[in-house]
Amino acid sequence: MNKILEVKNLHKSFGRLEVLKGINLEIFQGETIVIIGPSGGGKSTFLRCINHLEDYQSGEIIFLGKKIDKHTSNLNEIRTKIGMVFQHFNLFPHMSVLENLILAPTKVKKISKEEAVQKAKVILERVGLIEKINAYPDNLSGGQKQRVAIARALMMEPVLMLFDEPTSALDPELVGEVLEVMKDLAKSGMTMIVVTHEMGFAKEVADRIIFIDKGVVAEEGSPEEIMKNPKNERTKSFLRHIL
Amino acid sequence: MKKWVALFVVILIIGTIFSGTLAEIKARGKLIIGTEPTFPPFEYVSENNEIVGFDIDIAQRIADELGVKLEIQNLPFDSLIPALMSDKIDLIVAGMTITEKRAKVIDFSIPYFNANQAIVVRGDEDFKPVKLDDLKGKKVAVQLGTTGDLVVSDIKEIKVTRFQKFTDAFLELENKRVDAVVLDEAVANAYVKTFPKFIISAVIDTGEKYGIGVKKGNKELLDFVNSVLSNMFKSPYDLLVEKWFEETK
Amino acid sequence: MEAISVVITNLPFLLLGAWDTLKLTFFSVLIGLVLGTFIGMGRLSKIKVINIPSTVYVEFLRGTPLLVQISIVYFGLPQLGIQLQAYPAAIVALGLNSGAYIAEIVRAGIQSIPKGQYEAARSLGLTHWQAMRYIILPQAFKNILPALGNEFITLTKDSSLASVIGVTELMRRGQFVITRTFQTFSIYFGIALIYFVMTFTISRIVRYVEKRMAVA
Repeated sequence: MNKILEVKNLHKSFGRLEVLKGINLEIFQGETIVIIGPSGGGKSTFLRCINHLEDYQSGEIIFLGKKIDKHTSNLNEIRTKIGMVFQHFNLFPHMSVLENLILAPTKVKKISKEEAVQKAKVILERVGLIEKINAYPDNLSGGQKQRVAIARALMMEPVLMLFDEPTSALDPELVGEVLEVMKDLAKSGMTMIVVTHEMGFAKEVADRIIFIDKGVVAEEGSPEEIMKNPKNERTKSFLRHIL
Repeated sequence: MKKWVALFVVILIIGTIFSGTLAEIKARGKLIIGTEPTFPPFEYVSENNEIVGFDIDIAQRIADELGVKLEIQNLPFDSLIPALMSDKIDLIVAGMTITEKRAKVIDFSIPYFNANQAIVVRGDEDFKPVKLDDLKGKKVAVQLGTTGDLVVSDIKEIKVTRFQKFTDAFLELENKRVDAVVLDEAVANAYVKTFPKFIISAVIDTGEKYGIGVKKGNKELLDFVNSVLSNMFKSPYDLLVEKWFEETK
Repeated sequence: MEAISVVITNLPFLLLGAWDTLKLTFFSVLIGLVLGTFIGMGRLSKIKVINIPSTVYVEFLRGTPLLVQISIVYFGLPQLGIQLQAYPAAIVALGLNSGAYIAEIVRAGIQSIPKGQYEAARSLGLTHWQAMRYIILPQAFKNILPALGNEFITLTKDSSLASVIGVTELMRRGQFVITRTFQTFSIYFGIALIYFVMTFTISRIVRYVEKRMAVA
């Protein structure tokens, strides 16, 4: 199998506070990894280190055989291959849905506008929002916004998708539609790392679940192993809280 | 961005044409004088939007003698000397009194006008000063940097308020915040004619005179200006005498 | 009434000055906007050779009187061999000055945009400049439009200082009329009225643009 990402002994501090204390992870093509763990445990920070929204102090991040750190010269090109979906959507409010989608393809990948628009229509169809193509983000529900955000990331044809608590900011009744899109994506063979508390989703889609706590991977295993028979005490108490 | 850079370069090139030796003025084809056209009848803006006046006619004469066009750069009075020093203008022709202080930084032509000062007061009041000393203990408004400013500032007991424009000084007099205005006689005459509620209570011969300002060290231009002025002072009779008697000597 | 008729007969003359005032302000704001945008971004840069000069620029131009700045550009630059005519000199000085104020407005505007907008842009592969140009600045400008309108109005009034180097804008032309007619009070009042009409119109236009952008 093709190795997409390898993280070795990753350390990250904010000032004197060490958030990641040696994280190791490998992910292969087509895998979906769900990261769980208490808030403040370093899950989001870990995700943000992968596409270098955050710098790190030591360790290695190797994406498709190339190291990602502050010396990486083609960082922007690498980022086009790593899609990211944020908790608060971060859609561009001054642009319509279509403009949100075609901005990066036309400006970064330099594909023609016509081609980008065609592509946007296909992807919007896929996330079920083709009728909102000319709407502005302010006029969308939270669930619709997050589906547009996923569509926007997909426009760049990423090799890897990072989801940073994609449903945490949503009203409960809107969570389902976003998870549906994500499941669909996972089944289509996308390689994904998802930080979430949605254990139902994890159970159904994840190849592996990783429990990050206090800056380290406290436990790792298949959904079965983790959810039915957690070895770590902290994993147990965490699961008891959220289930 | 390129357009802006180009514009800037053009401005620089236009700018560097200035700086006025006699040869340069002739090559450039125009004499640039600086004046403050808020000083009628010496210089002011006419109803046709032209700067006119006694000084302007003198400047025109100098330009004519040089065989070049006259360009008038209007500037506030206290900006005239800096403008001359930084080569913005060739001459100051602005009813400027020759003073020791000014003569340290610029050269002056021979005097061309006596700067007699008028004391102007409100006509309906008893206060009628006839000499500068009568103003002691009084409040007086003047135009900043003018001869009037110089003469009243010499007397410690006078409280002086200085204005950029003499019209503002008169406004102060009208509002009764000062007791008198001291300014050049010619200017005072014009004003009092329009507003008879003010009267000239005295005209003082200060011994101060107007001169044309030339950049320090520009002797060539200074000599030329002086020759034009002295020729203007000569009557047709003087010229005849010169023609028929002095040249044959 | 003579006082009123003096203003009316000289209105065309004064309006030419008002037109000059508007042009002076417009071009100065234009320079200020370009300059202020870059310096405003420079103020937020983590790179010291960009950040420090930007800060020094803003502090220096805000900390010295505009009158002095105009005089330096017009009278001082010739010492360095740069001769500017009065009008371009006034535009340069006013533009440099408003650049400092607009830089602070732009800085605040950029800071008002949530960090996630920038991160989302970068995560899609946009460069820093692309993120600024397409995502941050358009939103920032929408937010700072009222402040920019204020700066425009302030500059309209401050442009009267250009009269010290002989720019015949509204104030200067007013002085010319006063020395011709001696109608000090009514001309000053007329000038004030013209300034008010200009600034009021500008603030209306800004408000209109604001509303239109709010809809979009």
